[in-house]
Amino acid sequence: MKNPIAERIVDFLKNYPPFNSLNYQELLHIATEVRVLYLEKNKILFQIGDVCHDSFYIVASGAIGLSVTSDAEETLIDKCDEGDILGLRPFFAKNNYLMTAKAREESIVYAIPIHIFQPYVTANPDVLSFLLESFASNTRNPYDKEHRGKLISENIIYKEQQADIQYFQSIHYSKEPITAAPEAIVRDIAQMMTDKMIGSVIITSDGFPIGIVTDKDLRSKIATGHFQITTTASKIMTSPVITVPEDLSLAEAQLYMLKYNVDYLCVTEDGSDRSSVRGIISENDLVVAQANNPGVLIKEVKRAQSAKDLKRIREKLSELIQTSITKDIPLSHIMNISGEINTAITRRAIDLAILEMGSPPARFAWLSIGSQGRKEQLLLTDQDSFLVFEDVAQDKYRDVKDYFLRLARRTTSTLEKVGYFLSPDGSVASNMMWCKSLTDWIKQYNNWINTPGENSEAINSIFFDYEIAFGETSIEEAITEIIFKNVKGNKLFFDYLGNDALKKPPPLGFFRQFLVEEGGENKDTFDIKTRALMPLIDAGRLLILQQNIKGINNTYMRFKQLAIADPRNSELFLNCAEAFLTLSEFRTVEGLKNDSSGQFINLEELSKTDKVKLKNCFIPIKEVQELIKSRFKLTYFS
Amino acid sequence: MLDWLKINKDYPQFWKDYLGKFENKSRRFVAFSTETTGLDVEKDVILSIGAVGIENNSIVVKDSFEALIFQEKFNPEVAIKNGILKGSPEEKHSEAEAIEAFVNYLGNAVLVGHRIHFDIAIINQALEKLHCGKLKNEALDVEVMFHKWKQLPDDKQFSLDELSASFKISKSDRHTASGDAFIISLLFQRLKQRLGL
Repeated sequence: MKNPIAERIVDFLKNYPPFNSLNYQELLHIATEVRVLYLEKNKILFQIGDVCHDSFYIVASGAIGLSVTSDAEETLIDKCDEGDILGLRPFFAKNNYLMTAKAREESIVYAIPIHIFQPYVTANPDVLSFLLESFASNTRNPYDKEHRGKLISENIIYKEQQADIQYFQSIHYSKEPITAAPEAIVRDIAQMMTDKMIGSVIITSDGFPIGIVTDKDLRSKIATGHFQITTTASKIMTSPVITVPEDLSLAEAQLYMLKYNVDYLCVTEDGSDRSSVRGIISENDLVVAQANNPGVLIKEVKRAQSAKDLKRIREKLSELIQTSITKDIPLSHIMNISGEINTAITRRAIDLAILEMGSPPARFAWLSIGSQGRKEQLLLTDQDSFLVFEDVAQDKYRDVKDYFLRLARRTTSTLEKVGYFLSPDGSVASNMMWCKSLTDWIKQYNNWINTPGENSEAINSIFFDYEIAFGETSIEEAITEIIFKNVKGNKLFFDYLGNDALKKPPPLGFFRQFLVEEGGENKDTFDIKTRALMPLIDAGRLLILQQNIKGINNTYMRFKQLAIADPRNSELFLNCAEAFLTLSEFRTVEGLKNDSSGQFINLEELSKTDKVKLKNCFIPIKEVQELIKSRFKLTYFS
Repeated sequence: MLDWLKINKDYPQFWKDYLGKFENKSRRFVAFSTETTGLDVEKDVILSIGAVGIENNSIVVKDSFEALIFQEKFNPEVAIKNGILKGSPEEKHSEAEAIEAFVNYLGNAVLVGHRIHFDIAIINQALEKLHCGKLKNEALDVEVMFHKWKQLPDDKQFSLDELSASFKISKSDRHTASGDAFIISLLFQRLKQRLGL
């Protein structure tokens, strides 16, 4: 049956790239699957953080604005007019949208299902390169000279152009690839790959690459039993291997991998398979190149051999944080990156301890708590942690505990050498009290939650901000389970935690003047940690526990999540989230400047606008404390 | 009064199937338009039917329908306007085939049209010839919706051209049934959101 509406859509599509590279029949097939959407002005097509749609879009009439949100401000980045495509993200990445697309005027957009269009992308190099370039370059339409370089792609979040440059930088890859002869036995090859921890081996004949054996080949051909383990490489290799010249850019490498649907590229002297092998590029190399600095740092962490190596990397991280802040990269991103690297350092410290001491006698989990557990540690502040090992037989308990205490001591001392000084109140895994079996921990949490204040040991709220750094995730899950089971509707506990959150000294005096420290070495400075950050951190923790929302340990994310879970107070929570970031930035800048923990701010060094900015952050603090007071029916003195 | 007794008796199979589809309320809308030899329901006949489905506020191009009907009666004036000539080589169906296919396509969807009473009446006329009952789908009229939105008196008339002009919808393809159906669907999307339906 004819479909005149589809034909009409073809007439529209054929005028615009990449559709102009396709023939009429192909376009008709695509047009038949189109859905026509109408958007009123200011209607949102997709939003940052939304799960990717199953379609991408072309504007048929009207205009769609693309914007990013950084530091709570919506910044318009690009405007899509008639014929422009948008929402390409699902083609290239599995994660959620990084931009918001909103109709700037009444618009009609055609939604084209990805699965319908995908075959044309793979089959048609012009279409693929257009989409890739659109996605990578700063405009949706790379052929549009006028806009080139001015705008930003859907791929990046930062205000900088740096990601653009990254995309065309060359990549680092293994220059000493492992090769084998076609007659080599598969078992030997697998052993070699395991020993060298690599995912592929290039098969060469007379020095020329003729094929490649990858993990995938071993899985699909040997493990399935299609071939014997004693067969030769030539029987199971993927052939021919895709060869590329040296000095490939990141964009080109990605293009080749998509085009040929492979995970490895073989670099040869002249780019053909009739010249000698120079290296191998894996998909992982691309990921690392895109992640640039942070990725490289994590890789270095994994290779570090001593506390000294780790210290050097931590110093690099400080530099990275410093430059990121000056570049106005949103602080929440910096926290994420820094959190990952901090965790990696802890993990490596434990690795090193295990390497020296031999395998642990039982399964265990190392949990970072406090600022690191919340992924908010930007400066070299103190280390807080605890260790949980699985329950073991009574007679082995002593030995096992002894092992883990020694492990913890080694680890914390490595971390101390890196620069994280030990928690002043001793909340570290090397403390007898915080290194124990799962059952003991369950008892511990039960005590804290059900009988707060009764025990001599006061409840320590930082134990409710934890993140696993090493070991069994099931242990972390068990702890989460026990906490949320116990706190649900537990008035006594919330009373206690609520009071704790309100007990912090206020930031401003009666005349709206900053309250400064009265004596000691920090005389006349403002304690931003205790007076401003802690109240927010405590409030976030309290409210998220009360809402029974699991798995969010970061204060910024907690408030963001609360804004969604509790729409009536969403404005307040968003303000809290922003205030938290602003205050953290003040603290970080102070800390980097003086190489300190940034806890005490010298007010005299602040400009007048900075002081106003700082004071503005106290409004949401006050409001959220009022909210806690009324919600938990507390007074300051209860 | 005893109409329901007939249901399983004389009706052709496709009509029984159609009646069976109304157990659930539909979330699908079908915008449709007919081209006819004239405006007299008794004397004139359908030349073509065009339709397109709307679901979740989006027009589903794949869910569209077009049937051109082979004519015994022939009115050259209309044919010239619509570009449908008696002997034109495009695939044509008998009225019976076209109506049956259309009813199958419609199912229990809510109908949307422009001056839809005429379209429904002439289709009902054709259904009667096939010994079927009348269409029982709910129907919405974009002209009526427009009145409601603008709060205008019912007697003020708006042609499809005037309506699309007021929404700045381009009129290419107007005067084919499918082209009109598409324009109606675009109008409907806008009016539906404006009226908050």
